[in-house]
Amino acid sequence: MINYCKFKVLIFVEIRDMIQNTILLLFVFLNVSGFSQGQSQQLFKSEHGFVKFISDAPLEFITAESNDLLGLVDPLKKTFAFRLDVKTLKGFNSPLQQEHFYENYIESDQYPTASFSGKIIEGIEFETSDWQNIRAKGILNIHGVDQERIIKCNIRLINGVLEVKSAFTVLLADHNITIPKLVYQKIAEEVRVEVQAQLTREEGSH
Amino acid sequence: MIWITLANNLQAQEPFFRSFLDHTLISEAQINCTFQDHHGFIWIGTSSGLYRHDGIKLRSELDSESLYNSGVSAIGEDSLHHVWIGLENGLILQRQRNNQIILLETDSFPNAKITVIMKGKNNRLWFGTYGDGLYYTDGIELYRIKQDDIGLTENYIYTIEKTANGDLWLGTDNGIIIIRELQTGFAIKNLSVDDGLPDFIVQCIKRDRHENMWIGMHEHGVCKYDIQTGTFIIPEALRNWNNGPINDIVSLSDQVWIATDGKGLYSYLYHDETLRHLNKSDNTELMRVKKMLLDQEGNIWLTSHTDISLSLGNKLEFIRYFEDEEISNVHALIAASDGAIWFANDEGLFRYHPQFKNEPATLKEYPIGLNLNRQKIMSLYRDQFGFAWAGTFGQGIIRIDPASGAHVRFTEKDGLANANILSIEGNNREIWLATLGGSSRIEMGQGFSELDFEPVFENYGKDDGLSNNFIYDIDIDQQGVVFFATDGSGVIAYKNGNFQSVAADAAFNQKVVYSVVSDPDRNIWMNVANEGLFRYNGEQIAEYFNDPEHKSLSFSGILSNRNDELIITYDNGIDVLNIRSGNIVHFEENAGMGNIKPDLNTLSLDEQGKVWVGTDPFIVCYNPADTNYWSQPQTVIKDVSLFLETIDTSSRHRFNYDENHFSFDYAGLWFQYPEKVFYNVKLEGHDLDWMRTKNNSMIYSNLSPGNYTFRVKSGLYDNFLNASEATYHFKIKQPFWSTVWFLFLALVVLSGIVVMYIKIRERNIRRKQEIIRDRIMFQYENLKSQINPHFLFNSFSTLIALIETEPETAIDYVSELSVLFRNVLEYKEKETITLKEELNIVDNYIRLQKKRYGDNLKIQIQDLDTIRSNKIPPLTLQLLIENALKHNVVSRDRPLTINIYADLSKGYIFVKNNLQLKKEVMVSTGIGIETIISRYRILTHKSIIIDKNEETFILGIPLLTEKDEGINH
Repeated sequence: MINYCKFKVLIFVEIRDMIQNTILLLFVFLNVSGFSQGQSQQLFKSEHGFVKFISDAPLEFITAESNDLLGLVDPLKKTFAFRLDVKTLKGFNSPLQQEHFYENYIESDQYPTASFSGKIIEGIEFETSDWQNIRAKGILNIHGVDQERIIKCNIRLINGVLEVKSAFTVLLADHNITIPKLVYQKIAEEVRVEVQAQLTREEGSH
Repeated sequence: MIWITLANNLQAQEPFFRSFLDHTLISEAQINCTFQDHHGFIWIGTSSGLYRHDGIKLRSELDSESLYNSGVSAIGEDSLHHVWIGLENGLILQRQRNNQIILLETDSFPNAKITVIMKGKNNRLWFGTYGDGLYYTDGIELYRIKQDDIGLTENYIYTIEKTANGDLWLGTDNGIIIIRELQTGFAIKNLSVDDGLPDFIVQCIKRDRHENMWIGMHEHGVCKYDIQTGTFIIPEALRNWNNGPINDIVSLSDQVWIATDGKGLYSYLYHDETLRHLNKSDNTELMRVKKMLLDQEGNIWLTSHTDISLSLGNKLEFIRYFEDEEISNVHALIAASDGAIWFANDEGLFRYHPQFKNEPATLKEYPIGLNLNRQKIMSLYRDQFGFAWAGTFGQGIIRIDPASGAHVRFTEKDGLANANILSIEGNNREIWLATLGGSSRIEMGQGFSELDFEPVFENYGKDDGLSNNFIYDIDIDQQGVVFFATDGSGVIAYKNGNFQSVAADAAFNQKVVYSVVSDPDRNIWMNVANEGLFRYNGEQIAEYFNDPEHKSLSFSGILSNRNDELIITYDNGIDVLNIRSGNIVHFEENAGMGNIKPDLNTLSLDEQGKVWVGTDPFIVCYNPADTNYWSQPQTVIKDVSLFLETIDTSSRHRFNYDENHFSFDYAGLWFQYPEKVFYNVKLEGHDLDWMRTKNNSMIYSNLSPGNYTFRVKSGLYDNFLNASEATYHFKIKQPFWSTVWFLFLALVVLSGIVVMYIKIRERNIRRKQEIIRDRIMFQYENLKSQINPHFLFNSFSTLIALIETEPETAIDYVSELSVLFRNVLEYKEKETITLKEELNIVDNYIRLQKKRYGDNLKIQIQDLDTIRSNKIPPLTLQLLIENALKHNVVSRDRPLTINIYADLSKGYIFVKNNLQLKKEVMVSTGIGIETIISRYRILTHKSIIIDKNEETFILGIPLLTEKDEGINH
């Protein structure tokens, strides 16, 4: 009887996971393809957001940047999704370092993207063009590891453009990124991330 | 004067924390939640298991293999006291009455982590999930309340708190959602930023004793929802919060504890409107406490990711250091009415003021011109005008102005009885000093409110009736009666101008008493050197704590507070005795005390009812607990086992006679001091007396049938005064052979057997008698027949004929005849003879008859050799032949043929003759077939066979076997 229950549950869990995955995929797909049917007149999108990683270790200061941050925000539904192809990160102090970063730490072949998607806690004022403080709560996925984060952002709506600015830190240990002892002094345990994006209104022309 | 001010973030007073977890049992796991069930057990849910703690033992209830690849994220209890377990993957388990934990039967589990389980109204149990809304169960089905259903505006639920009227307050990512359970359905209300809530993200909600809600938020700290005004209020001290997200809140009688995510623990004191940091930052586990649980004893369980700490909550606060200064060797202490604490140690005389609102804690030294390393301050007092009084050892008494630090000193020169001041006590009229040379009294006269007041010392000593010159302690009760604890004269009271011994007991009045205090019930409590604590209720003296195992009897100070408690200090710690209930709470090494060696005058009651105690290693403040906490160990029978198999105690109370090996596991739940829980155990029906033990299990084997009640009480040390008791009643049934009905039945059967035996015996005797009678009759009849005149006549006729014709044959005939009669005489006594013998008789008889009938009588005897040794009643066959001759015609025309043969398969011998009955019936000799039948009836169960038709007459007699022989003997 117990075994049967267990079995039932296992199947149930499996099916549920499948459904969840499907929903997730669907979500990503809809977002990326510019979900714009129906009511989502308010979908804002950017394909060239700016993101910068800063590692301030005792022996070395490293930065890497990308201008290919993909971002989608639906201020009405208060949802958002950001995605970065980690291989678009450029900078570093040497090409060798960049390769190390791709291969050893972030393992970009296996985990080609970093993402942050979820919901916006605060309501967004549409009547003002002032900067607004909001919190974005969602799942931050780096190196294939999910972490729930509440990240403070500054946003403003000006001339139909949604500007987003944010800075936060990522604990490498939180995302199972291990730094070899030899380079411990060169890479900080805590990496600072700065994000800046201008999202334009999707006109729903699809 | 030297001032030291403590920086705001440094903590002077801190509660006691101790790590509780045995990491050998819970390893490598992340601790997610704790819960206390109605018995009092503490449940611990981790990422890989579920455990239940009784203070001593941690029992695994679920291991990682039974967690469906998940971890325990919430624990709760329904109104039937079943424990429910919520998992990180959304599954819900239920612990049944038989302690089995099974999965709830439903097809639609939440698909998000269960964050909270809360008992609701109407036997409902609510489940908050992290992302999948709200669920509830009625114990059978699982129902879902989803975002957008009936106005639930958020699916991420961090916490649920219940109001006094049963409303559920949900802390969510979109503020607070209030759910009221109606007769049908629910009413839902949202309180969010628009309603004045400072933050959207509400991570914890806790109700205080005034029904206000304390709300912990992600960004904006803590606010209070005032139930009276219906508004959110951020108290002044909690504004501009800068200490990160709030993980949890606990509401205590006079404060809330706040656990932050990385910045440690805070407490907000309602009365003082003060926010204080509770823990030192070097305790990393306490910097990020995830969950707090207030248990029934008032302990707080603090759960971080990897550890659980236990705190006594607001009951005790310690001052060990001030900045880097150690606060130790306190010889005297007094709590002043302005919230300050005056104390003296080897370093000097100090005034400590705790943190108040934004004012940090301060410590101020008052130099009094003495080298306190050698000339110690032994007593402190603060008069109604705010002046501090310090009694010294040998240097008289000093009065100090706290504001300026100015002081005046009085010695024997000023009229003081003695310069060694051991205790100072006073009221608003007078001050009494206890010295090594009697007592001095100061009347508060004109000008007392000024420092330059010149006191007049009225001195009392041996001559005044104070009996002895050494006074250790003074106490003044509500009526103004002054009590003196003396060295060798017991306690002496000063009343209406007279000194007299308190107790009438002469022996008691010889004792050395270190301290004396009167309680609100007008009992006098006395600390007698090396003997312990005594109470005098006006009539008799009762002894307290006479358990030598308990602790040393060297109590130091005693103090009575407003909560009917007596605070007693001694070398190992502090005891709090409830004078109404008799319960004692011990603060010993369990509470961070250990060897504290307090001095006599180091106990003081402050304005708020707290008791301050100065000791060798620190100053400690005791805050009387809420009365609604448990005040003694709670006794629970954990398991009852029969032959080591746990049984369901709720349903099983009757056992068979051979189910007689019981073991009982029990616990006295007292998490603040599990090490000192003792048990009184008794199995009623087996034990005559209570047994005191520290074992938490008892085994009884080979219990005889009967009624039993297992009773167990738990107490601290030897105090079982009002101890809570747990019982289990059971019955071992009699074995069936000793039950009343069985005995009755057995008696009936037995008497039946006896009656039957008697009856059979009687019948046998009767039958024997019958046999004897029949045999005698037979013999008689036989004899009679053999000598009946007809036979003789016939025989003699034959003989006469023979004598004439064949005289030789006649001789043979006569001898044959005599053989016949000899045989008859020889065998008449015998029951049976062998067939061989019978055939001899028959042979002889036939020869006699042949002489008479010649060839007209044909007798054929079959070869009966095989059965020659079988038995037969004597003369049976002879009689049958005679019978045949008697009744049938024997003539040349009609010869009579008699056949004697045996049928071995049937076991019979048959005598057959052709039937040719005589016309005139011969006079019956009375002997015949009936006689044979009756003889055989006695000898065998087989009956005589008679087969008679027109032509033949056959009579079968059964062959007797050995068995038939036995019947008669």
